Amino acid sequence: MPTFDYVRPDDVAGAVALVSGDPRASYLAGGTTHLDLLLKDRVIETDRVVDIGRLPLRGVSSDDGVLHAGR
Amino acid sequence: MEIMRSSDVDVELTINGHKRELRLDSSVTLLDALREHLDMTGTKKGCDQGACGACTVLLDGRRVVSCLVLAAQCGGREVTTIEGLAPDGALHPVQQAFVRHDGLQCGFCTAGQIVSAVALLDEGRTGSDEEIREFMSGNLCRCGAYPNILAAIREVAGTGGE
Ligand code: FES
Ligand code: FES
Repeated sequence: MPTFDYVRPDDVAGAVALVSGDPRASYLAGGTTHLDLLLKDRVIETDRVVDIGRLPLRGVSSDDGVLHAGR
Repeated sequence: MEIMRSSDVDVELTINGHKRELRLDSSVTLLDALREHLDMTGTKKGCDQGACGACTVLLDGRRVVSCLVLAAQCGGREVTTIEGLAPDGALHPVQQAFVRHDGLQCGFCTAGQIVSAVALLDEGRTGSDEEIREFMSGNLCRCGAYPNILAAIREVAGTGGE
């Protein structure tokens, strides 16, 4: 696997800020696809992995016809 | 916020009740940290792709395939490996049952099977043969020891089976 910075932000806003402005950054959640297909097989290359696994992004809900993934 | 530079990741985690501090490359998996950096070779590398379950360990009590978890992700968390199931050399009841039922042939998948089986009992997923098979389905056995693996788990669960 290529090397990359590992970052674990404390909140959602911090995670978004770290990834949205940088095309070479990516989110890491469960890791099944990201680590295996993408990083080990080098389908994507990334300089910064932003671990969102401990952020309070849980569940799926809906209101007014809008589906929310992660809250 | 935790920022770690590549090639220079400090990870403090608890493995089988012991605190360990490691300095690792950010891309090192939990599996490689165990095997290559801590010489804990009980956990096996079958596919290194999340497909076979040979590398199964418990992370905060939940089953994970350690080949698809970065060691860096485990900071502050508790890892239980096959070595942690028999800390004082006395075999865990699931290990004893695998011996009694001959739940292995070559043994390469066995550490993963046993860690998964221990979790299965905790998860309360041993109600029937069908349930055991379904919830053990992430652990492949090329030798095809499945009937005896099932019998071993069934015995520990006390679910008679059939
Ligand atoms: S080695 Fe991890 S699932 Fe096969
Ligand atoms: S005992 Fe050989 S792979 Fe399961």
